[in-house]
Amino acid sequence: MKVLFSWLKEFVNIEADPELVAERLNFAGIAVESFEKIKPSFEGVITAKILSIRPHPNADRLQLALLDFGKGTIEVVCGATNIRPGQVVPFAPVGSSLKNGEWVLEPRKIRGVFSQGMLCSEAELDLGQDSSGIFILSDEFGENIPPGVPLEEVLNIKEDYLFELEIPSNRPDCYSVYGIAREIAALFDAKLSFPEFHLEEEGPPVSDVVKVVVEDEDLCPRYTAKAVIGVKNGRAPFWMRWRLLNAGLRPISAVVDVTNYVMLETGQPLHAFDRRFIAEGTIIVRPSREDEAIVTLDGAERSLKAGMLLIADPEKPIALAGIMGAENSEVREDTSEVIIESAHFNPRSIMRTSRMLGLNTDASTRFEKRVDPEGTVFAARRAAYLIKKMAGGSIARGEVDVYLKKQQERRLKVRHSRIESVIGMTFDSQAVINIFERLEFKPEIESDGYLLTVPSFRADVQREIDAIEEVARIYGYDRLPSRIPANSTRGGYEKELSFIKTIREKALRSGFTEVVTNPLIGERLLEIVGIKKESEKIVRPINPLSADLSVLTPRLSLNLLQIIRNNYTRGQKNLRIFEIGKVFHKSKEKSLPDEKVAFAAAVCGASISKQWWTEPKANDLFDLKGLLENIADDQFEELNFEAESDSGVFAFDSIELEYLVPGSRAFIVYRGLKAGFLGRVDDRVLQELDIDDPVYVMEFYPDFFEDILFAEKTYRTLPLYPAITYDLSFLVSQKVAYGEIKQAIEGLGLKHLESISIFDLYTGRGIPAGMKSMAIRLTFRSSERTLKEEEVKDSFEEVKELLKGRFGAEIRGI
Amino acid sequence: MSSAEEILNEIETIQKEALRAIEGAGSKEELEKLRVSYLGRKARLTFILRSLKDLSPEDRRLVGSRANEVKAKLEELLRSKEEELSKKHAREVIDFSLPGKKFPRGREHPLQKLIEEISYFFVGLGYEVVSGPEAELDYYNFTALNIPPYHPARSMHDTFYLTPETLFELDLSEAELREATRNIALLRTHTSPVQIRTMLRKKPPVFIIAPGKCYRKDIPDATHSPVFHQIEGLAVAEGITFADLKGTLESFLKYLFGDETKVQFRASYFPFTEPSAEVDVSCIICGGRGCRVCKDSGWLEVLGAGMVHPAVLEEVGYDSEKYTGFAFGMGVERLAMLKYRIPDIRLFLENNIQFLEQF
Repeated sequence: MKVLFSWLKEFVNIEADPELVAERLNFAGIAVESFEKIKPSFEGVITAKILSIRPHPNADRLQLALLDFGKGTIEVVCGATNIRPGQVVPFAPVGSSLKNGEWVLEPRKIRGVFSQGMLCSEAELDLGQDSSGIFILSDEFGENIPPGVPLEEVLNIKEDYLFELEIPSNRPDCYSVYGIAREIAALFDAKLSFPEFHLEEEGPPVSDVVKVVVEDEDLCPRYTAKAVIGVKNGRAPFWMRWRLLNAGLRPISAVVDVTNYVMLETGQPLHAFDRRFIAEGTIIVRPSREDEAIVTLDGAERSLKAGMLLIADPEKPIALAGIMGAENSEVREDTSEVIIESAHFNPRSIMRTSRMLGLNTDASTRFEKRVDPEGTVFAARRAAYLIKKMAGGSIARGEVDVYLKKQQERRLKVRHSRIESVIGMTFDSQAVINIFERLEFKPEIESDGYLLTVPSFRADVQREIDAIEEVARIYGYDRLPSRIPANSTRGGYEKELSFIKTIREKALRSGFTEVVTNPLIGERLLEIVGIKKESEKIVRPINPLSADLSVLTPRLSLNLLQIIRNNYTRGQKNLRIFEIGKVFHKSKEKSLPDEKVAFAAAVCGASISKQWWTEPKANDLFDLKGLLENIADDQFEELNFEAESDSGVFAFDSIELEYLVPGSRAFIVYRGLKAGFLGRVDDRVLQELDIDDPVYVMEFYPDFFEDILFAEKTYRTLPLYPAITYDLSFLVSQKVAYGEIKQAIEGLGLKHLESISIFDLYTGRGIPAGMKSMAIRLTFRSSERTLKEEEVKDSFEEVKELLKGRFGAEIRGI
Repeated sequence: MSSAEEILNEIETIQKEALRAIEGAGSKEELEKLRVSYLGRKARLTFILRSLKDLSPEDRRLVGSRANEVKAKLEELLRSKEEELSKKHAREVIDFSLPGKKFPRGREHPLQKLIEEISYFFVGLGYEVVSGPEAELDYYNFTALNIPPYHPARSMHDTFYLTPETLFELDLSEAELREATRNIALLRTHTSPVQIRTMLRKKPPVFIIAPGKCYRKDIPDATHSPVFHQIEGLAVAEGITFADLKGTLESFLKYLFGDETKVQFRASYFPFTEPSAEVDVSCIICGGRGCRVCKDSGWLEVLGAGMVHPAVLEEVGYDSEKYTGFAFGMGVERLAMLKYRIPDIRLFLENNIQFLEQF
């Protein structure tokens, strides 16, 4: 909400400068979005009286006006047609400027005649939107304005400040100039008053002009109507237009401007009807029927659902209650009988209609946050007074006030001890009473605290805690003490986060870079990787921002593919990344999807690029497997890798791994359950992503091997005696997996065998087709003594026999 | 027993041989071997010196002085040879401007890094780090947090719904509407629902923080992202006051931004806390003098906080007379942008490797 400082000062008597007011409001919860000194956009513009006017000798459309500008006379060229001799007008002489200095006036020859300046319109002066003619000051401010006076003095806008305030949604009482002034008065303990105005009611009794029938008292607890007849609906005066403009509202006509002005002033939204168009002068407040329609003031035809609150006459709807009037009954230039509506509508009903129609207005915003029902009559009277003052006519006597559901006065008990125990400091009860009084809470002292009578405009104060907040707020948060609680709780990480943290640290230490991706991915990505659009497992927001953010990811590795692509297309092709995030999967039973923590990693290019000391090391599947081994620690043996697995539950078993190449992909199986997968991404998928190098991904669901990650570490005795190692290289069929050989050797149960490792693997030149060359190392060690070669020689022979016999290996060297 | 003359001859032979060998030595290791073989415990010369007592006094003097002379000479030669070799070695210059051998190094994402730093602080104060679902029920995200259907604060959150949100179309009583929100699924708009879930499964005292992703339907730009991270904090126990909230957050913000940071609390409104506060720190860019980042105010808003509303405590079955608490929430992106001077929020989810390598 935007408000001028000068307007606030009409209601609250303070000496404080605007900076201090802004600061106090800001600390008290009315956030000051901006605060600026306002000044006119013109400089050096003065008043001038038109002495005479003659046609321009060379142009039919131009005139020459002879001006008295206080210090002499001058002739200027003018194109507007609304000037007459005797008028006082704004004159921008040579050297003056407009539009914040962008436009500096210079002598100008116009069709052969020199003009020493110009006459200005409202638009040129940024005082309104009217650019059709010169701003005639004598029409607004009387004939007696002397020439040669600075324009800003005549307009009385010399120095002012504009506050832009963000009103919290629980404080609708601050949605008005008076309401903010009331808050300032409370903060500064200053005097608040509404300037008196005298209402002259010379017209007929209001009941002769308008009748009101309220059919639904829940939706419309109060409806007040007042009438002014015989008005001439011209323009509102400059000062009112200026305040509206600064508040961001467009001046329209005197009557409409008054309704807006009083809304800004008091917070009570008003609507003005032209009585001519109200059948039988009767206003009916009722819920809409199914299939009714209304053409609102913005020109839109709106079809209504049953139950939306309408203002109608016996024949037709004439307004959407509390939201917007209808075209059929709006006030026009020739309106003479005005009916002012000042009502209290049910906030929920307004919110509901406004949301369902997608129509928000200044009025609906106020009504849905709740308007004080006790303020309707005052606002109606204020508007009638201003309409008469600005547009003439006579005010009908009294007002129609249908107040069917009167609001109960709210009494609230507040314990002094509770104030202290919530805020955390002791208070002098006189200080508390002072705060409540400043807020108009009328405190009565009770044995253990206070009994408050909450004013009707503070609907937000419902419970004791609301009043306690007021004490803290008005007292000032900056004056409250600070301490740190002495809690006895044990800090740490919950189980799930604890193993996520462990995995994350291991992945970082394995040389993988962490990414954080958007769980919302695009339909297109699903399509590229071959996940069926209609898959019933996919979760989508029903109101996505855009097609590329329309799916909650079912596979975290897809998000990583996108990140690889983002980097790859920027020429960054060497990537080792991982993420721990959520994957989503529609649930059959619950409205919430299944949500699971996933770990994903992806690699591309080289882990070490070519450098002065090394050849490049390409990233591949075994970088990912190594990562998994690091994560699973020495418990790794429990994990298996199966190309096509029928093993049990997998996180989301029905989503296929079609984006991985068969033969280069495997499931990670733990204790007979599928816990994840890894593999090489299909070339077709990579092509779609504009990636020309192989990409490998891995994804698993860490909860499957929670127990591995949490395995207790216990000390094992360190080896005391040296080991004996044997290296063995052999040729074997490519069909034989290293794992089989290892398992078979372990199966021999050799005495003192400590470990088996593979240290060379080769196929290609010099190796017969279908074969591979493998070299393994056997390590023997005793925990009791230094072994002698003879002791393990037999074991070694046994291994050789096994390789030859079981696997058809050809031993090449020892 | 050899005669003195024989011994003297032998000494000359040893000297001749040793001089040649030492002169020809190419490395310090070689030199060390020579030292051992000519002057060591088992060396011939050492043996001769040790056997002097077996000679006549005259021979003893003769042989002794010669042997000692040779020993000194060899020692001197060894020393000078060693020096020479050291100098020679020094002449093989290493080019230290060559880059070192680096193996792949894992970089932390700045958001996670910051979440870890913040968690570290609160764990030290006895808080447990907990999590909750990102796909959440309307009830936990709004209703239980004192934001029932029709509450104006609902419209401040632009929410992604997973199931249709039709509350405005239903003609239901207030209690029925509240119940209806248990069937509406959405993407959580803040981490506050974790407060509710935690309190429903634990009795006080509860001291937790909950980091995680949140979602709002904001068009992406330099300061908005439809997905972002928050860290929620909650402390509920007997005797918790607003002073505890102030002290805890002041201490936290000094930890995060430095001891010289100033902290201020402004009144604010959140439906689930009362009294509520916005928390500002003195601008970390200009130190409070005023700059573009703080819009010349000298202050930066970094947190929302307040005392847990009794209605929230009652909703989870806590005795709101006995227990009080405070809660706070912070946007991790905003903090990271301030701390690391990152100008655009979109950089976080882009994951440009050159960006990530800066942290």
